Parts: sequence; C-alpha cells; structure tokens
Amino acid sequence: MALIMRSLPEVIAGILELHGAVVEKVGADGLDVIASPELVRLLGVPEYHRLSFVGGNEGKNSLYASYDSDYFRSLEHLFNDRGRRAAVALLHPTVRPERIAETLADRIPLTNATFRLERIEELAISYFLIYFHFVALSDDRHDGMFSVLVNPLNFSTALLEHVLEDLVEKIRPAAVVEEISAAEMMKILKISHMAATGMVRDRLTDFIRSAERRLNRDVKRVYEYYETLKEEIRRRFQKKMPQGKEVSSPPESANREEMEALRTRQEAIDAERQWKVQDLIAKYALRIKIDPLCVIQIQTAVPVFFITIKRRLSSRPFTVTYNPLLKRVDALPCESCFHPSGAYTICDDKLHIVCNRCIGANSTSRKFLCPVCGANRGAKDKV
Amino acid sequence: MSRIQDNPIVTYERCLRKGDCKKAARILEYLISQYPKDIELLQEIINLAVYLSWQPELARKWLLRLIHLRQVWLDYALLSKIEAHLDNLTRAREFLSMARSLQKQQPGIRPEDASPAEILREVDDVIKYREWQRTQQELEVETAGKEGAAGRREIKSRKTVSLPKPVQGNKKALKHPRKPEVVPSPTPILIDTPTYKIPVRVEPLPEDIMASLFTAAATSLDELCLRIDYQILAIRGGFDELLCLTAINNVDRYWYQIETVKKVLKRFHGRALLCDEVGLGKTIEAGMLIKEYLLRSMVRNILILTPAPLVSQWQEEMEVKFGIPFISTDSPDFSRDPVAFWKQPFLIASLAMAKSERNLPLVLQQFYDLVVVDEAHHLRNKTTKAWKLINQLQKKFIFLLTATPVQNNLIELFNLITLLKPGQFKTEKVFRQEYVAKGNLKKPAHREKLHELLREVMIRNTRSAIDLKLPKRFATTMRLSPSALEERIYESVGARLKSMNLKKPLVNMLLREAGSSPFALRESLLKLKGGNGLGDLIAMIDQLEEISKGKALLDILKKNQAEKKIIFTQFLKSMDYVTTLLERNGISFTTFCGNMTVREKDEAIRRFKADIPVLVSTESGGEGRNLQFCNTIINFDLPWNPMRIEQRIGRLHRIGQTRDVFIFNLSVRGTIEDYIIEILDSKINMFEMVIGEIEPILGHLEEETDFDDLIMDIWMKSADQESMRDHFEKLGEELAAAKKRYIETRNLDQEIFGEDYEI
Repeated sequence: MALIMRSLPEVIAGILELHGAVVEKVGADGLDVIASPELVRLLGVPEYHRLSFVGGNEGKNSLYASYDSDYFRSLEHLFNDRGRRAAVALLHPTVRPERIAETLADRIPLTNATFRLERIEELAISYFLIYFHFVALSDDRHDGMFSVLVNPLNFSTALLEHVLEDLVEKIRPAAVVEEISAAEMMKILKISHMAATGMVRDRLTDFIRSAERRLNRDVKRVYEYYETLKEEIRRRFQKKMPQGKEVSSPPESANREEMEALRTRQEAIDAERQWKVQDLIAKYALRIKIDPLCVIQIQTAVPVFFITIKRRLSSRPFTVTYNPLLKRVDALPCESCFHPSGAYTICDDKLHIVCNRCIGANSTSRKFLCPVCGANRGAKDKV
Repeated sequence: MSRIQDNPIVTYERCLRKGDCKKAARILEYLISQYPKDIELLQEIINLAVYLSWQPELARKWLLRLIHLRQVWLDYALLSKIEAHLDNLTRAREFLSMARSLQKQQPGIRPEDASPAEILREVDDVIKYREWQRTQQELEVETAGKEGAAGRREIKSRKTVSLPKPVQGNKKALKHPRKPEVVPSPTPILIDTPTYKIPVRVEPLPEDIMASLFTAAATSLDELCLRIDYQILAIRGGFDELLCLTAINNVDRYWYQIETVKKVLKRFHGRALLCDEVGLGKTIEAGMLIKEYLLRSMVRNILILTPAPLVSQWQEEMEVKFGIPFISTDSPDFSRDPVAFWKQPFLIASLAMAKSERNLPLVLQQFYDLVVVDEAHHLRNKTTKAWKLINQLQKKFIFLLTATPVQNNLIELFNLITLLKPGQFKTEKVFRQEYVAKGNLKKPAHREKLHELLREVMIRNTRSAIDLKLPKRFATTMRLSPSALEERIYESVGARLKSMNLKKPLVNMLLREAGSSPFALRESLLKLKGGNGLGDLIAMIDQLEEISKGKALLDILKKNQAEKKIIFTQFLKSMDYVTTLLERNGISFTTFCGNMTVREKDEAIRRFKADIPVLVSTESGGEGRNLQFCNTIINFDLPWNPMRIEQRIGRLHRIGQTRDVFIFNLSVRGTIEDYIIEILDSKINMFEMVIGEIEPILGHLEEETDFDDLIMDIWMKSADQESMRDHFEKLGEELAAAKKRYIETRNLDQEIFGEDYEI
C-alpha cells in the first residue's frame, strides 16, 4: 500500500488500474494501457493506447497525458464521490500516561485560570484527518493543499503535512468503523474549516503582505499624482488672483466665482482619486475558497486526561488527549477560531477557552470581550 | 554685417520685433566691440540673453564683463542664479555670498517689484533646488527598486520665480515680452497618504459540499490516496504554467505570445499596454489572457471595447478560438433591453456605443473584472469622451491594445499610461518637463528613464525582435466583362431589391450572392418568389450556362498545374457551380465547407496535401489547419469586409509560409465587389500589404460603422452607377487617408520605441 507522494505516471497508472485497466510501463516514461469498457466509455479513448508524458511523441495510438493534457484533466471525472472517505486503525506503542501527565502544564498555558487533573482513562477515539484544497485569488492566484487533524473529543486541531508518509507502517484498514452521526460530522467539518481558514491566512501572510505593499505603493502613486494636479490647479488660480492676495484669503465679490470654480475642480479631483483607490483595493482584494477534499477516520486508543479548569469561583470539566500521531498531548482548542496562537485565556461567563489572538481590544484590562459569548449572543439574537 | 554697420539700432529693433534673438545678440556684440565699456549695452545684451531668449552661457559671459566694470549686488545675484541653472553650484554659492555682503553695503540699490531679502531668498531657493535635484538623481541610480517610506511623502511643488529686473536708473527699460522659464522651487508639500489593508474574504463552506463528504461511501485508503495525489499533481501542473494553452482551439501560439501572457500575469498584474506590431497577434494575446484569467477564476465578467468595424470579428474569434460566448451590441438583445444587456458577463461593444449618452450611465454602473480596449490609440486625447469613459469605468484589470500608441506626440502616450497606472509619470506637466524634449513633443528626453518606466506597463513585440520573416504577397485582380445576360441579371436584381421592402440583412445577402454568381442567387430568389414577380429573373438565370468568372477561373487553373491552389467562395451554390465546372474540365479537386464532419475535413486537407491540386472552400476553409504547403489563393468572390478577405489570405500567408503567396481576385465589372476591389487594390494596395495591416487602417477610419454597413449604405443611397462610383471613390479616399495616417503613426512609433520593449 503506497502512501507516499507518487509521480505523475504512477498516479495515472493507479487511477486506471483502479478502474479495471491493465497498465504496463514502457521505456523511460511511457505507459501501455488496455482500458476496460468502462474507461473506454468514460474517457473516450481506444481500448489499447499508449500514454506519453513528453509532448510531440504522440502517434497513431499514443496520447499525451502530462499535466496540461485533456487526458489528465478528464481523469478527475473518474473519481466522482470515490476516494472521499476512508477509515483506518492506528497502532501505536503503549505510552505511560503518568509521564505524559507531567507535561500537561506546558501544553495547557492558561493566563488567567488553573486546572486540576481529575483522572486518566484509556479510550478508543476517532481522529479525523481532513484534506483541504484552497484557492486564493487576488491579482494573482495561489493554490495549495494541506490536511487538518481534528480531535472530536475536544475539537483540538493541528495542521499536518506529509502525515500519511509517516503512517505507512502503523495503519491498517479498520475492521469495525465507529459510527458517527451526521450532526457530529458536520460540526467536525465546520470546525476543521474554521481552523483551515486560519491556517490558510497564515500560509498566505507573505503573499498578503506583498499584495499590501503593492497596493499601498499604487495608492501612494495615485495620491501623489492627484495632489500634484491639485497643486498645479491651485497655482493657476493663484496667478489669476489680484497681486498680494492668496487663494485662501477671504473672498471678495470679484473672485468669489474663481474660488468656487477652484473648489469644484478640487472636489472633482478628490472624487476621482477615491474611485482610483477603490479600483485598486478591488484589484488586490483577496478571495479565498477552501474546499474539503477527503476525510480519513483514524481509530485509535489513547490516554484521555479529564481535567477541571477553574477560574475564580467557576469551573468547567474538559478533556485533553495524548495524540499518538503527533506524539504529544493535543493543544487546547481555541473555541473561537480553532487555530490557536499563543497562550489561552478563559472567559468569565462560560469559561470558554480563547487564544490570545482572538481576545477583544481591551484585553490589556482584566476584562475582555469573549468572542465565543459574543458569537453565541449574536446567534441567539438572530433566532 | 554691412546693414548692421549702417544702422545698428534700427536693425536691432527690427530683429527684436521679428523675434530673431540670435541676430539681435550679434548686433549687440558688434556694438559692444565698438563701445566695450558701455554699461547700458552690456545690460541690454544680458537682458536679451536672460529674458528674451534663454541663453545662460551668453548671459554669464556678459555679466562677468559687467561685474568687472561695476560692483552691484543685483548683478552678483543674477550671476549666482545663472550659475545655478548651469549646475555650477559652488560658484553659484560664492556669487550669492558676494551679493549678500554687497547688498549690506548698497542699501539704496533696490529693484522695483521685490525687496532685496526676497530676491536673495529666491536665488537661495534655486540653488537649493538644484542641489536637491542632483541628490535625487544620484539617489535614483543607487536606490532603484527600493520602496519609499509608507505614510508621509514629500512632493516638490513648482512656483514661478521671476528673475530680478535691471538695476534702477537704467534709462533703456527693456521690454521682455516673455517671462523667464519656470524654475522649480524645492518647497515640499507634505501629504498624508493613507495605507490600506487588503480585504480578505473567505467563502463560507456550502452545506451541500459538507453533506456530500459525509454521505460519500467509504472506500479504501488506496483510492483516497490516489485522489490526494491527483489533486496535488493538478495543482503542481497549474503553477507557472498557462492553463489556457490546452483550452484553446485552432490557434497557433508562438513563444513570444506565451511570454507576453506570462509577463502580463506575473509582472504587470493585469494592467498592460500591448503594442505589438501589426500581424503579430495582439488579439490572440488578449484572447489568451482572457482565457487564462477565466480558467483561474480570477475574472467573472469582461467588457471588450473596439471600433465598430471590428465588433463582429472579435465576437467570432472569441467564440471560435477561445470558446467564450460574448454577446455584442450587434445583438438584438441590446436594442431590446439595454439595461439587462450591460449586466451580461461577457460583452463586446463598440466604443462609440458605450460612450453614447444613452448607454454611458449604464456602462459606468457596472464593475468589470476585466476591460479590454482594442485600437486604444482612440484614447490618446484625455479630453475626449472615450478617454473619460475608460478612466471612469470601474475595473480590476485592463488591457489596452494598439500597434500605434503614439500618433502625434508623446502626451498621447502619457494619456494611455494614465489610464493603466495614474501617476506612473506623475502629472502631464511633470511629464513634459522631464520626458519630452523642449520644443518637440514627438521627441523624448531622458530616454532611458522613460523606457524604464514604460517597461513596467508596456510590451511591444516587433518582427525583427522575434525574427519573423514572412514572404511577399502578389495580387492579380481580373476585372471581367459580364456577358449581356449576366449584366441584365445583375441590374435587374439591383432594381428589384430597391423596389421591394426587404430587411437590410436580406438585401445584403442577396447582393453578395448576386456578386458571387447568379447560381448562388437563384436559390434565395426561389424562396422569395411568391408574389414578388421574380419569376422572370429566375428564368434568366436558368438560361445561363457559363459565366465570365468560370472561364477566367479555368485560365488560372491551367497555369502551373503542379502548384496547389485554393479557391474561396462564400456560397455553397457558387461552390457547386465551380465543382461542376472543374469536373467538366477534368480537373481533380476536393471540397471543404463548414457542414462537414471533423473527419471529412481532415480527409479533405490530407488529400489536398497529398495528390489533389485544387481545394474548393467556403470561408471556414483551413481554419486552424496548416495550409502553408499551398501558396496560391483564388478569390472566386469577395466578402465585403476587408478583414474577412485578410483572413482568407491569412490561411496561407502566415508564420510558417516559406514561399511568396499569389492572390487572384475575380470580379465582374459593374458589381459592388468590383468597386470594393477597386478601392482596396488601387487605393491602399491591400493585397500586397504586410500581414495584418488592414486592421489598424480600418481602425484609423473615422467612420464608426461596420464596413459591410458602409457598403450597404452606399448602395442604398446611390441612384445609379455614376453616383455609386462617386460614393466608392469617396470611401476609397477615406481609406487612403486612413492608411496615410496609419503609416505616419507607425513610423513615429518605430522612432520612439525602437526595439526596447520586447519580451
């Protein structure tokens, strides 16, 4: 079972074989294919054909199949809904929960609360590894893929790259798949999408910064242009004024019209400048689309730490788990963005766990606006 | 010189009146040579060199002489200013310092219109400005590419500084009709430029996508991994590779076009002036860019603005080559509901229509992701409605296409660039001062700097730069005398159509059929027959066995029988006549028309290439296929639109053709086609022009209507052959004038841009 990133010919061969074709490697970069009737119908190709990945080698029965080919693009239709969900079981070495418990304080950095470990239990849980494809469009386009691991017990998330390559030895198809309800699945997907949003923004930081630099450079150019225009107009009017009078001096009846004309011209210039700036902002505005591609349900047994979070007179039970994929305790989730950054703060009302990035503006004072409470209040008001 | 010696003062005054300052200066120098210590003469020549004709070197020379004779602080102040203008800043400072110290000793010497302090401060300002300018120039060289500080930025204002008037007591008060040149002042104006954050919007995850993930059946991990790998490879294939290359049909793409598209995407970020020479495929480049942006989902609505004669051609190219269905202002939807029309996502409109009073507010209401303007030299003047329209359009990306960006002067280029990137060259005033040679608006100053700034927004591919060598075209037009019967048929058709109340497009088609061959006309006449009294006309056509074009065609085919030839005709019935004629005369041929299957078309071309000498084709003939093995075209009939004629020729005369191309045109005297050929051939030599040149010539035509419509209008308003001839003569002259304008512009552009802007 190959799980590492494969080459183009390997992937195409894999897809064709999955649909009943017989594929054989030919030469340095060719593939001989005997297509199944299904493939002949779906792809509109001859039963026997040779695939070439270097342009210009196409012959009578030879088809060009590289990244930019129709053949490659048409393979997407073979998937339909297949390959979107899978379930595996993860085997991992036994860990000593007591040793892990000693590291809990490092993994739970609370700035205004404490916690107490109540008990530890070994439980079977299913992690969800969700692959996302994002497209970011501004005056340029960026594409990417990444995966988010979600812990459904506490909705902790982690950004993972190349995790499947590390799992080759450790996973096998799940014999019994844990059932999960539609509502739970939707919640997991929504949370993972929220986390993915934060991850994409982080990933695009440099791109956003570069676009902002370009935007502000263009805005600066536009402002200089229009300010110079205004100044030139002002000087032209200045020349028409009586000697010794400034354009800005109180208008006399003779030059009131001139002043009015000047003001009108300058307002028109200001309005035009504003259009240009709006056009520039629209040009550089970033639109991001993040779509889930597939999800792997990873069933495993892990130590679960039941803790109680205490803030002033209130307390809240919470669970934290040891993650065998990451070989550490899962980070606390931020219940606002699900992509936490920095330490955590607990809100006073409902003891929501919020990362410092999500805290409201007056976080320097002891009181802060909990975005989760605010969001819930907003949702209730709408209802 | 003898006249000067006779009466120098009179001669001098005459020269001043005529504005001949050089001669006036020579007279004064002569007089000074006679009277070397005459201070008034020295003052006169200094005033001439400073106020009347700016000659700082001359002024300095005589000021030094004057200072030698007398020590007056005003003279030192003037000399200091002149040294500053000549960039001798050290000497300028020295003289200023001497002026200051002398002024303290000479408080009584005061000019009329300014105080001594003001005058000395002005001179100081000039020196400081020159010093700043020098520093800026040095900094520009060192720090090119670095970004300025965000937030506050100084701009230099300009204010007029007048030079001090002559010393009081000078009896000869000079009239200086011209104020001295504007000298910039270094007083900065601070402006607060706001900084903006980019709005970032993440599209919410649709419920149906989430549901589909949940409801999808579980599969093996292998299959899932294949899906992941496929997606990763699809993304990898997209990076830095153009997606449009495999998504467009029947288009030869050349390396320079691909590079142009990449450059516009990556470096110009969607705002560019494309100025390729004619015939190099600007339209293809624009189409590729449009397709690329669409495939990348970076644009959702597009507006293309072109001259009226080119609207239908753009629509056809976008549809056939790029698979993008645009609707145009030619469509009935436009007249039916203009409000809804302008909200459509893919629009082609003539510039004239878009800027009209009725449509302008509707156009300006929309936000366009992409605007393309063809023949953008129509936007060269920023006082025109067209320029204001484009300036006011709300848009994200914009491409301006023109083979001739500069027609009369460099300010036109400034106006075009301002539409793309306002402020690229600062204001027009600054542009004139910094980038245009004094006294010659066509000649650039600071050429290097100008080119550097232009390279940020402009691409211009030239034939020589891409090493494109095309063979020549040779045309022979055979103007045939019709037989009596043919002539009667044609005249009857014309007369009948004028008397019948038929719709314009139908009349257009019937006239074109009649011009092609009577056999093409017959079928349409049969459909119209009922009650229209056309039976006799049809009967006349039935009497025809041969037509004059048939004989001429056979004569051409019998020459050089080994050479392959393509015969073009617009109508299937004319094609039937031609094929029957060839069969009767034992000439093997194959046919090509739009209603054949792809396989049949491929087979026709294959046979033509292999062993069949003649291909008889309709307009679609050879589109997208390599026909360069053939080098002879026979136009059995002619479309009315020169662009279509050019397209026919372009099937053979294109990049890849190695032999000279021969074009034979058949026309029958007295027909509309005959007039058209006459003006295209004799007035503008269209058939032997450089490939693609007809397009900018049509773009330079003052008329805002489609060429077909122009011809129809001529036919409709011509009472007889005589008046038709006159109208066509007039159209021919307009075309010739358009060609002349185009050639002048082309030459000017070659001079300005040279070979600097290629990929």
